[in-house]
Amino acid sequence: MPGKETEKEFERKISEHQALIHKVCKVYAFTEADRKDLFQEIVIHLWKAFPHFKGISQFSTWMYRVAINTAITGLRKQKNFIRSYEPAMLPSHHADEIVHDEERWHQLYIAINKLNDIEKAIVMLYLEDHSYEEMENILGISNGALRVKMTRIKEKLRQLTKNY
Amino acid sequence: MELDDLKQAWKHEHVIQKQTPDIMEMTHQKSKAPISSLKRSMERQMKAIAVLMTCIIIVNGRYLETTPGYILFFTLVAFGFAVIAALFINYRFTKKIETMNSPVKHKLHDYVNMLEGRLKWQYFVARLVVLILILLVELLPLFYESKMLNTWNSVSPVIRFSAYSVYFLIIYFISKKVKQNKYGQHLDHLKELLKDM
Repeated sequence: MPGKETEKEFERKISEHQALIHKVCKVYAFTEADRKDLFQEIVIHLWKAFPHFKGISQFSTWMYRVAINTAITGLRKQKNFIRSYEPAMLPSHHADEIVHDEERWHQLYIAINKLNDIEKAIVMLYLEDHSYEEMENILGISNGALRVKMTRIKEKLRQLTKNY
Repeated sequence: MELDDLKQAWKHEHVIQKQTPDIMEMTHQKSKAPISSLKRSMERQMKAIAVLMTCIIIVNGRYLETTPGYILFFTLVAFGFAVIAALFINYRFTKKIETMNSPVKHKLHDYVNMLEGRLKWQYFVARLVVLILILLVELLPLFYESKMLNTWNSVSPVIRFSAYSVYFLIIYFISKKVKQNKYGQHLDHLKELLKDM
Protein backbone atom coordinates (compact mmCIF):
# COMPACT_ATOMS: atom_id res chain seq x y z
CA MET A 1 0.00 0.00 0.00
CA PRO A 2 1.44 3.38 -0.97
CA GLY A 3 2.32 5.52 2.07
CA LYS A 4 1.27 9.05 2.98
CA GLU A 5 4.54 10.41 1.56
CA THR A 6 3.80 8.84 -1.84
CA GLU A 7 0.27 10.26 -1.78
CA LYS A 8 1.55 13.73 -0.97
CA GLU A 9 4.20 13.51 -3.69
CA PHE A 10 1.61 12.32 -6.22
CA GLU A 11 -0.85 15.05 -5.28
CA ARG A 12 1.84 17.72 -5.56
CA LYS A 13 3.04 16.55 -8.98
CA ILE A 14 -0.49 16.21 -10.39
CA SER A 15 -1.50 19.65 -9.11
CA GLU A 16 1.63 21.13 -10.74
CA HIS A 17 0.82 19.54 -14.10
CA GLN A 18 -2.95 19.69 -13.94
CA ALA A 19 -3.19 21.90 -17.02
CA LEU A 20 -1.71 19.09 -19.11
CA ILE A 21 -4.55 16.75 -18.11
CA HIS A 22 -7.15 19.44 -18.80
CA LYS A 23 -5.74 19.97 -22.29
CA VAL A 24 -5.88 16.24 -23.04
CA CYS A 25 -9.49 16.19 -21.82
CA LYS A 26 -10.30 19.16 -24.02
CA VAL A 27 -9.02 17.34 -27.11
CA TYR A 28 -10.60 13.95 -26.40
CA ALA A 29 -13.87 14.79 -24.68
CA PHE A 30 -16.58 17.00 -26.03
CA THR A 31 -18.93 17.83 -23.20
CA GLU A 32 -18.22 19.14 -19.71
CA ALA A 33 -19.48 15.87 -18.19
CA ASP A 34 -17.24 13.78 -20.47
CA ARG A 35 -14.25 15.96 -19.65
CA LYS A 36 -14.85 15.50 -15.90
CA ASP A 37 -15.13 11.73 -16.40
CA LEU A 38 -11.97 11.62 -18.49
CA PHE A 39 -10.08 13.81 -16.00
CA GLN A 40 -10.98 11.41 -13.20
CA GLU A 41 -10.10 8.38 -15.33
CA ILE A 42 -6.69 9.85 -16.15
CA VAL A 43 -6.00 10.60 -12.48
CA ILE A 44 -6.96 7.02 -11.53
CA HIS A 45 -4.54 5.59 -14.11
CA LEU A 46 -1.78 8.02 -13.16
CA TRP A 47 -2.11 6.83 -9.58
CA LYS A 48 -1.99 3.15 -10.64
CA ALA A 49 1.08 3.79 -12.79
CA PHE A 50 2.84 6.13 -10.31
CA PRO A 51 4.77 3.34 -8.51
CA HIS A 52 6.24 2.40 -11.95
CA PHE A 53 7.55 5.90 -12.68
CA LYS A 54 11.30 5.54 -12.39
CA GLY A 55 12.25 9.08 -13.38
CA ILE A 56 14.00 7.96 -16.58
CA SER A 57 11.86 10.31 -18.65
CA GLN A 58 10.50 13.69 -17.61
CA PHE A 59 7.38 13.60 -15.46
CA SER A 60 5.37 15.50 -18.07
CA THR A 61 6.41 13.02 -20.79
CA TRP A 62 5.28 10.14 -18.58
CA MET A 63 2.02 11.95 -17.80
CA TYR A 64 1.33 12.48 -21.49
CA ARG A 65 1.77 8.74 -22.16
CA VAL A 66 -0.63 7.75 -19.40
CA ALA A 67 -3.15 10.50 -20.24
CA ILE A 68 -3.22 9.79 -23.99
CA ASN A 69 -3.32 6.00 -23.44
CA THR A 70 -6.24 6.48 -21.05
CA ALA A 71 -8.08 8.81 -23.41
CA ILE A 72 -7.70 6.40 -26.33
CA THR A 73 -8.29 3.07 -24.57
CA GLY A 74 -9.95 4.13 -21.36
CA LEU A 75 -13.40 5.18 -22.29
CA ARG A 76 -15.73 4.15 -25.02
CA LYS A 77 -16.14 6.86 -27.56
CA GLN A 78 -19.09 9.19 -27.70
CA LYS A 79 -20.31 9.81 -31.23
CA ASN A 80 -21.17 13.50 -30.84
CA PHE A 81 -18.66 16.18 -31.60
CA ILE A 82 -18.76 19.92 -31.12
CA ARG A 83 -21.83 21.35 -32.77
CA SER A 84 -21.81 24.57 -30.84
CA TYR A 85 -19.21 26.06 -28.61
CA GLU A 86 -18.90 28.09 -25.47
CA PRO A 87 -16.64 31.14 -25.41
CA ALA A 88 -14.71 29.47 -22.55
CA MET A 89 -13.58 26.80 -25.04
CA LEU A 90 -11.72 29.36 -27.13
CA PRO A 91 -8.17 30.45 -26.18
CA SER A 92 -8.75 33.00 -23.45
CA HIS A 93 -6.33 35.64 -24.68
CA HIS A 94 -8.36 35.86 -27.85
CA ALA A 95 -11.42 36.96 -25.92
CA ASP A 96 -11.02 40.55 -27.17
CA GLU A 97 -10.71 39.42 -30.79
CA ILE A 98 -13.67 37.11 -30.49
CA VAL A 99 -15.81 38.84 -33.08
CA HIS A 100 -13.10 38.85 -35.73
CA ASP A 101 -11.46 35.37 -35.38
CA GLU A 102 -14.22 33.50 -33.56
CA GLU A 103 -15.52 31.61 -36.54
CA ARG A 104 -12.00 30.64 -37.70
CA TRP A 105 -11.02 29.22 -34.27
CA HIS A 106 -14.35 27.46 -34.08
CA GLN A 107 -13.81 25.81 -37.45
CA LEU A 108 -10.26 24.78 -36.62
CA TYR A 109 -11.42 23.16 -33.36
CA ILE A 110 -14.23 21.39 -35.24
CA ALA A 111 -11.70 20.20 -37.82
CA ILE A 112 -9.33 18.91 -35.11
CA ASN A 113 -12.22 16.98 -33.58
CA LYS A 114 -12.77 15.22 -36.90
CA LEU A 115 -9.29 13.69 -36.76
CA ASN A 116 -8.84 10.19 -35.35
CA ASP A 117 -7.50 9.69 -31.82
CA ILE A 118 -3.87 9.24 -32.90
CA GLU A 119 -3.94 12.31 -35.14
CA LYS A 120 -5.42 14.32 -32.27
CA ALA A 121 -2.55 13.21 -30.04
CA ILE A 122 -0.01 14.28 -32.67
CA VAL A 123 -1.73 17.66 -33.11
CA MET A 124 -1.94 18.24 -29.37
CA LEU A 125 1.75 17.44 -28.83
CA TYR A 126 2.64 19.65 -31.81
CA LEU A 127 0.63 22.52 -30.36
CA GLU A 128 2.40 21.97 -27.04
CA ASP A 129 5.67 22.51 -28.92
CA HIS A 130 7.10 19.04 -28.33
CA SER A 131 9.96 17.99 -30.59
CA TYR A 132 9.52 14.99 -32.86
CA GLU A 133 11.93 13.06 -30.58
CA GLU A 134 9.69 13.76 -27.59
CA MET A 135 6.61 12.79 -29.58
CA GLU A 136 8.35 9.53 -30.57
CA ASN A 137 9.01 8.86 -26.88
CA ILE A 138 5.37 9.44 -25.98
CA LEU A 139 3.61 7.86 -28.94
CA GLY A 140 6.01 5.08 -29.94
CA ILE A 141 5.82 6.18 -33.60
CA SER A 142 9.14 6.73 -35.37
CA ASN A 143 10.39 10.26 -36.06
CA GLY A 144 10.10 9.83 -39.83
CA ALA A 145 6.55 8.45 -39.66
CA LEU A 146 5.54 11.32 -37.38
CA ARG A 147 6.79 13.93 -39.83
CA VAL A 148 4.86 12.27 -42.67
CA LYS A 149 1.71 12.09 -40.54
CA MET A 150 2.09 15.73 -39.48
CA THR A 151 2.27 16.85 -43.12
CA ARG A 152 -0.87 14.84 -43.91
CA ILE A 153 -2.69 16.19 -40.85
CA LYS A 154 -1.89 19.80 -41.77
CA GLU A 155 -3.19 19.19 -45.27
CA LYS A 156 -6.30 17.53 -43.90
CA LEU A 157 -6.99 20.48 -41.59
CA ARG A 158 -6.34 22.92 -44.41
CA GLN A 159 -8.92 21.11 -46.54
CA LEU A 160 -11.44 20.96 -43.68
CA THR A 161 -11.12 24.68 -42.97
CA LYS A 162 -10.51 26.01 -46.48
CA ASN A 163 -13.85 27.75 -46.72
CA TYR A 164 -13.20 29.82 -43.56
CA MET B 1 -6.60 28.34 -41.48
CA GLU B 2 -3.22 26.94 -40.49
CA LEU B 3 -2.43 24.82 -37.46
CA ASP B 4 0.59 27.00 -36.73
CA ASP B 5 -1.76 29.96 -36.24
CA LEU B 6 -3.30 28.08 -33.33
CA LYS B 7 0.06 27.17 -31.77
CA GLN B 8 0.73 30.46 -30.01
CA ALA B 9 -2.85 30.73 -28.81
CA TRP B 10 -2.77 27.14 -27.52
CA LYS B 11 0.47 27.66 -25.60
CA HIS B 12 -0.83 30.74 -23.83
CA GLU B 13 -4.25 29.31 -23.13
CA HIS B 14 -5.23 29.42 -19.47
CA VAL B 15 -7.24 26.48 -18.44
CA ILE B 16 -10.19 27.76 -16.47
CA GLN B 17 -10.56 25.63 -13.37
CA LYS B 18 -13.80 26.10 -11.52
CA GLN B 19 -12.52 24.46 -8.34
CA THR B 20 -9.43 22.52 -7.30
CA PRO B 21 -10.30 18.86 -7.67
CA ASP B 22 -9.65 16.47 -4.80
CA ILE B 23 -6.97 14.37 -6.48
CA MET B 24 -6.67 11.62 -3.85
CA GLU B 25 -10.46 11.30 -3.60
CA MET B 26 -10.51 10.59 -7.35
CA THR B 27 -7.94 7.81 -7.03
CA HIS B 28 -10.37 5.90 -4.80
CA GLN B 29 -13.07 5.81 -7.46
CA LYS B 30 -13.60 2.78 -9.72
CA SER B 31 -12.17 3.08 -13.20
CA LYS B 32 -14.76 3.00 -16.00
CA ALA B 33 -12.22 1.71 -18.54
CA PRO B 34 -13.21 -1.52 -20.37
CA ILE B 35 -10.04 -3.23 -19.17
CA SER B 36 -10.79 -2.39 -15.55
CA SER B 37 -14.34 -3.62 -16.02
CA LEU B 38 -12.94 -6.88 -17.46
CA LYS B 39 -10.62 -7.21 -14.46
CA ARG B 40 -13.51 -6.73 -12.01
CA SER B 41 -15.57 -9.25 -14.00
CA MET B 42 -12.77 -11.82 -13.52
CA GLU B 43 -12.75 -11.10 -9.77
CA ARG B 44 -16.51 -11.69 -9.59
CA GLN B 45 -16.21 -14.90 -11.60
CA MET B 46 -13.49 -16.24 -9.27
CA LYS B 47 -15.69 -15.51 -6.23
CA ALA B 48 -18.77 -17.00 -7.90
CA ILE B 49 -16.96 -20.22 -8.82
CA ALA B 50 -15.54 -20.51 -5.28
CA VAL B 51 -19.06 -20.16 -3.84
CA LEU B 52 -20.46 -22.64 -6.41
CA MET B 53 -17.76 -25.19 -5.58
CA THR B 54 -18.49 -24.85 -1.87
CA CYS B 55 -22.20 -25.50 -2.54
CA ILE B 56 -21.37 -28.53 -4.73
CA ILE B 57 -19.12 -29.95 -2.01
CA ILE B 58 -21.78 -29.49 0.66
CA VAL B 59 -24.72 -30.74 -1.43
CA ASN B 60 -22.99 -33.72 -3.07
CA GLY B 61 -20.72 -34.85 -0.27
CA ARG B 62 -23.19 -37.52 0.75
CA TYR B 63 -22.96 -39.30 -2.64
CA LEU B 64 -19.27 -39.97 -2.29
CA GLU B 65 -19.70 -43.62 -1.32
CA THR B 66 -20.24 -44.52 -4.99
CA THR B 67 -17.58 -44.50 -7.71
CA PRO B 68 -19.43 -42.25 -10.13
CA GLY B 69 -20.03 -39.96 -7.21
CA TYR B 70 -16.29 -39.74 -6.61
CA ILE B 71 -15.48 -39.29 -10.30
CA LEU B 72 -18.05 -36.57 -10.91
CA PHE B 73 -17.43 -34.86 -7.63
CA PHE B 74 -13.65 -34.65 -7.90
CA THR B 75 -13.87 -33.77 -11.59
CA LEU B 76 -16.09 -30.83 -10.67
CA VAL B 77 -13.77 -29.79 -7.87
CA ALA B 78 -10.68 -30.10 -10.10
CA PHE B 79 -12.38 -28.07 -12.81
CA GLY B 80 -13.40 -25.46 -10.32
CA PHE B 81 -9.82 -25.07 -9.11
CA ALA B 82 -8.49 -25.07 -12.68
CA VAL B 83 -10.92 -22.34 -13.75
CA ILE B 84 -10.12 -20.24 -10.67
CA ALA B 85 -6.38 -20.67 -11.33
CA ALA B 86 -6.78 -19.70 -15.00
CA LEU B 87 -8.90 -16.68 -14.09
CA PHE B 88 -6.30 -15.63 -11.54
CA ILE B 89 -3.50 -15.81 -14.14
CA ASN B 90 -5.64 -13.78 -16.53
CA TYR B 91 -6.45 -11.33 -13.76
CA ARG B 92 -2.78 -10.75 -13.01
CA PHE B 93 -2.02 -10.30 -16.72
CA THR B 94 -4.93 -7.88 -17.17
CA LYS B 95 -3.79 -5.90 -14.15
CA LYS B 96 -0.33 -5.57 -15.74
CA ILE B 97 -1.82 -4.37 -19.03
CA GLU B 98 -4.03 -1.91 -17.12
CA THR B 99 -1.06 0.34 -16.30
CA MET B 100 -0.86 2.93 -19.04
CA ASN B 101 2.74 4.11 -18.91
CA SER B 102 4.10 2.54 -22.13
CA PRO B 103 4.37 4.52 -25.38
CA VAL B 104 0.94 4.75 -27.00
CA LYS B 105 1.61 2.42 -29.97
CA HIS B 106 2.99 -0.38 -27.74
CA LYS B 107 0.16 0.00 -25.25
CA LEU B 108 -2.46 -0.10 -28.00
CA HIS B 109 -0.87 -3.21 -29.49
CA ASP B 110 -0.73 -5.01 -26.10
CA TYR B 111 -4.23 -3.90 -25.22
CA VAL B 112 -5.84 -5.08 -28.48
CA ASN B 113 -4.03 -8.44 -28.31
CA MET B 114 -4.98 -8.91 -24.67
CA LEU B 115 -8.63 -8.01 -25.12
CA GLU B 116 -9.02 -10.19 -28.23
CA GLY B 117 -7.16 -13.08 -26.65
CA ARG B 118 -9.06 -13.01 -23.38
CA LEU B 119 -12.45 -12.77 -25.05
CA LYS B 120 -11.64 -15.75 -27.31
CA TRP B 121 -10.30 -17.71 -24.33
CA GLN B 122 -13.38 -17.00 -22.20
CA TYR B 123 -15.63 -17.99 -25.09
CA PHE B 124 -13.75 -21.24 -25.70
CA VAL B 125 -13.27 -22.33 -22.05
CA ALA B 126 -16.85 -21.60 -21.01
CA ARG B 127 -18.09 -23.97 -23.73
CA LEU B 128 -15.41 -26.60 -23.13
CA VAL B 129 -16.24 -26.82 -19.42
CA VAL B 130 -19.95 -27.28 -20.10
CA LEU B 131 -19.23 -29.84 -22.85
CA ILE B 132 -17.04 -31.93 -20.53
CA LEU B 133 -19.65 -31.82 -17.78
CA ILE B 134 -22.32 -32.96 -20.26
CA LEU B 135 -20.07 -35.84 -21.39
CA LEU B 136 -19.55 -36.91 -17.78
CA VAL B 137 -23.25 -36.66 -16.98
CA GLU B 138 -24.06 -38.84 -20.04
CA LEU B 139 -21.19 -41.35 -19.90
CA LEU B 140 -20.87 -42.09 -16.19
CA PRO B 141 -24.30 -43.77 -15.84
CA LEU B 142 -23.31 -46.20 -18.66
CA PHE B 143 -20.61 -47.66 -16.41
CA TYR B 144 -21.80 -46.96 -12.88
CA GLU B 145 -25.00 -46.67 -10.93
CA SER B 146 -25.32 -43.06 -9.86
CA LYS B 147 -27.97 -41.74 -7.46
CA MET B 148 -26.84 -38.20 -8.25
CA LEU B 149 -27.70 -38.52 -11.93
CA ASN B 150 -30.72 -40.84 -11.76
CA THR B 151 -33.35 -38.12 -11.99
CA TRP B 152 -31.79 -36.46 -15.02
CA ASN B 153 -31.03 -39.74 -16.77
CA SER B 154 -34.63 -40.87 -16.36
CA VAL B 155 -35.63 -38.11 -18.77
CA SER B 156 -35.80 -39.20 -22.45
CA PRO B 157 -32.45 -38.84 -24.32
CA VAL B 158 -34.20 -36.83 -27.02
CA ILE B 159 -35.27 -34.26 -24.47
CA ARG B 160 -31.86 -34.25 -22.75
CA PHE B 161 -29.91 -33.70 -25.97
CA SER B 162 -32.43 -31.13 -27.18
CA ALA B 163 -31.94 -29.28 -23.90
CA TYR B 164 -28.14 -29.34 -24.40
CA SER B 165 -28.51 -28.07 -28.00
CA VAL B 166 -30.88 -25.29 -26.99
CA TYR B 167 -28.48 -24.28 -24.21
CA PHE B 168 -25.52 -24.05 -26.60
CA LEU B 169 -27.56 -22.14 -29.19
CA ILE B 170 -28.82 -19.63 -26.64
CA ILE B 171 -25.33 -19.18 -25.20
CA TYR B 172 -23.86 -18.74 -28.69
CA PHE B 173 -26.24 -15.93 -29.64
CA ILE B 174 -26.39 -14.24 -26.24
CA SER B 175 -22.63 -14.25 -25.66
CA LYS B 176 -21.96 -13.02 -29.23
CA LYS B 177 -24.38 -10.12 -28.68
CA VAL B 178 -23.05 -9.34 -25.19
CA LYS B 179 -19.45 -9.49 -26.39
CA GLN B 180 -20.15 -7.18 -29.34
CA ASN B 181 -22.08 -4.70 -27.21
CA LYS B 182 -19.60 -4.69 -24.39
CA TYR B 183 -16.26 -4.78 -26.18
CA GLY B 184 -16.75 -5.37 -29.91
CA GLN B 185 -17.12 -1.79 -31.15
CA HIS B 186 -14.40 -0.56 -28.83
CA LEU B 187 -12.05 -3.28 -30.06
CA ASP B 188 -12.84 -2.55 -33.73
CA HIS B 189 -12.13 1.15 -33.16
CA LEU B 190 -8.77 0.41 -31.51
CA LYS B 191 -7.77 -2.01 -34.28
CA GLU B 192 -8.45 0.73 -36.84
CA LEU B 193 -6.22 3.14 -34.92
CA LEU B 194 -3.44 0.55 -34.69
CA LYS B 195 -3.64 -0.09 -38.43
CA ASP B 196 -3.28 3.64 -39.02
CA MET B 197 -0.17 3.87 -36.83
